[in-house]
Amino acid sequence: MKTIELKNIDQVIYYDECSNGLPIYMLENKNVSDFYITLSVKYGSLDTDFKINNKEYHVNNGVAHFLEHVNFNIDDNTTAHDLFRDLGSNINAFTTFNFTSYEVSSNNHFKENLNLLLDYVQTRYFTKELVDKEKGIITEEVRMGNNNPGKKMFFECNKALYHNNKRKYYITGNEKDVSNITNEELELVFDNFYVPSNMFIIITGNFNHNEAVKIIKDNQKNKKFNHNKIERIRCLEPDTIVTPYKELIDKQIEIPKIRISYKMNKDIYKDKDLEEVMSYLYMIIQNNIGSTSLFKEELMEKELVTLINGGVYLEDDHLIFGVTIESKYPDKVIDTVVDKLKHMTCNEEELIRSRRVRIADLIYSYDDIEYVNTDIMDQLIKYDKIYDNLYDMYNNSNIEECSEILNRLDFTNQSIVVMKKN
Amino acid sequence: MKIHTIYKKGFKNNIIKVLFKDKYNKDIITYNNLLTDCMTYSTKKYPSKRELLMKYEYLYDSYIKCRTTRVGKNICTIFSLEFLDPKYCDEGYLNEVIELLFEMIYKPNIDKDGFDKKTFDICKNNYLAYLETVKENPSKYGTYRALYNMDPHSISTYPMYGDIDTLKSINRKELVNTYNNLINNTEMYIYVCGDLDMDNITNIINKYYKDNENKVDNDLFVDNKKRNKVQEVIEYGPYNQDTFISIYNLDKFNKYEREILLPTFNYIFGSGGLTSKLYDKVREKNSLCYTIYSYPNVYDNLFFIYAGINKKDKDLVIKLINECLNEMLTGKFTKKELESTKRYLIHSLDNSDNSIERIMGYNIAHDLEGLYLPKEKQELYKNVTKEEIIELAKKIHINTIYILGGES
Repeated sequence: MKTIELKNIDQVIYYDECSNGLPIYMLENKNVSDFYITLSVKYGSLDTDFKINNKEYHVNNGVAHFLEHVNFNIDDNTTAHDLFRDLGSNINAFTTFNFTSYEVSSNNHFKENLNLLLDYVQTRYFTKELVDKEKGIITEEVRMGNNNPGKKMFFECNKALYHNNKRKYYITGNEKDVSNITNEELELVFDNFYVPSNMFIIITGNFNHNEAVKIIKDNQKNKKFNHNKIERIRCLEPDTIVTPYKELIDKQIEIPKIRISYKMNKDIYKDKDLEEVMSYLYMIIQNNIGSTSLFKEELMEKELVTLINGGVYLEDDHLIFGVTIESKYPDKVIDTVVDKLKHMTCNEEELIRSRRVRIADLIYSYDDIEYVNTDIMDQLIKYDKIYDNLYDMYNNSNIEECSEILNRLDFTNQSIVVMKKN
Repeated sequence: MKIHTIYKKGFKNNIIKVLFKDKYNKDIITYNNLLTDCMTYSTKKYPSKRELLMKYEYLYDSYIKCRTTRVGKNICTIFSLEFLDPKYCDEGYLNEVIELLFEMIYKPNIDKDGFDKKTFDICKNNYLAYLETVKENPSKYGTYRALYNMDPHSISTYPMYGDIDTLKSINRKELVNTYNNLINNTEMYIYVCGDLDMDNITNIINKYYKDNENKVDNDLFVDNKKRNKVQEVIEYGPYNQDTFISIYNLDKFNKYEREILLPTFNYIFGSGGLTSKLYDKVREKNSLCYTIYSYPNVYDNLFFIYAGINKKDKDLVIKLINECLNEMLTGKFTKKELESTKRYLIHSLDNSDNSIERIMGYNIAHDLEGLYLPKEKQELYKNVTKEEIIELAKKIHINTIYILGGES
């Protein structure tokens, strides 16, 4: 077992690995009474094209999410929910672009919960009847998503940004995708991607790490899995955008929503640590258009916007720099915001305040076992490692580095999406 | 007025809540919401949102938020300060952060003509935009319309987010009257929770707060009229999925029924995730929805079922819901289901001290509303019987079925 000491915040992550390749990450918190376990599979909605032993396959959009749903079945009459209910535990699951995660939270029967999670996730039971039944449920989930203006906006923006990247498609797939999904696809994906070397388990909360490792290793030792050679096929995504400007009419929208996005190749920062870059970019956005910015204050005073916030996201080979606005006057606001983004600044005083915020948030986060579990998950998916030096990274942030990162931002590839009622 | 302190070792965040309890009055809800927006936007010393937020950032991302809630015929306005363990911060941090809380409460940004014009205009504009976007959220808007159709004159119907017509009429001078009412006529409470030296905290708070010695009686329950015959209402909006809401009247429950039997009933019936009857019948066996759940509002003596469906399946959904309710009435749930429900509810209370916010919530509810504390509830859950659940089911009566249908 290895330990990863998180410097300056008195936290330790324990790491071990099963002989079948399943990595185990554990962070104890004896101040709480519960524990939270996530078992994640590195298979998400983007993975519709892949090779198995050099043979190419394509599956429908939405397969990852569909599989998450049907994987709860134990047999024709029993689901994982029935079994966990008897332990008094809460379970759930979610699917993202890059992975699928199954979670359990409870405060007792640690061994039983851990074994049950591993067993039900790693064992499949799909029949045609169960798959057909799930189609109706997921179709309603798709329709529910279409009732959410924020979600609609997000995917419209992705369609405007991406030529080939499958982030432009709903994670659930659309209604037609859902109806086309077959048992065979689900089995193909499960048998090849739901293998320990393609998974990882994270445990946070009140438990004993030595006991946890023993339970997991005992659970895994007699299980059999495929060892096929898997290669994900991802189309190359150019740096250019698809649509520089589009307006969408949606009668559900009462006040127009605008999203301004910039697509940048992450290689502009190839000589730097990406997490550190993201941390600086977060500070730059907050200080220039966030709540402590003069810019936002002016827009609010002139009643030009009722909401403005920004973020930067690492999406495969690109950084997406985005600003979301709610405004009754989109025509007046867009040019003003675009101009501001191209003339952002950073100063020492703002940096000092941002540093305090980042450090405080880092310290706070370790009180919340679900938050910190998700944070570890994010780091593993994005960077394939865990950062042990975030406190120092934030504490040592400096104006020279901030300025350099700011100056490298590339605003060439701009896309604007406006959603309004009429 | 006593400062209530709750020591809890080990957490890195701490919370101070200042509560103002008042009698419910529909006419002041919108005023109160605008008032608290203005109070949290700027103060005398920090006359803009930006300056206030910079101060929060300087104080290690501390933050003060405010909300007004209704409990039966009482309303409560709560200012909540969250701040970091002082051991990670500069000397003088604790004093500064508490001073900021009371600066916000006692030194609002008011001039001779009322609330500061800039603050008032921005807050009013933002609040107006918020109210205009309620319709974008079909579950929020649908719930309001369901209640309205149940009884437009009920206290339960008026939304706690306020209304546009009242908001448009408010001016910055009369908002000062709302402020004066909050400070001078309400009953005040202060709660502190965290890993802190409570004597020190109390001494610091005592430097700043001003007790008003008011008492406001608890008037916790709303009577909602029952119907002899269920009404069905369908309205339409620009939505993709249809929103189904059914509302039931509850007979007057005693404390044990309200706090112990009803949660047990509800877990088996509709809130227990994919093992509840509603989920099993409507979603899992018939694929008619993705989301369906039930929840009570015990102070309003109401019970709700919410689902996202296709309205063409309305009649089948109603039939299946009625089957679920009938199963509860006739005892068609097993002893095993009941025991695992009780186990779940008992174990979930073991987590009652897993966060500062949760600890405070239970203590405040116990003090202000007379609710059981977690340990008391755990003991009472152990003895719940099937017969008690069946008797409770007889006290739930359908009132209104409402659908907010999609046009798209």
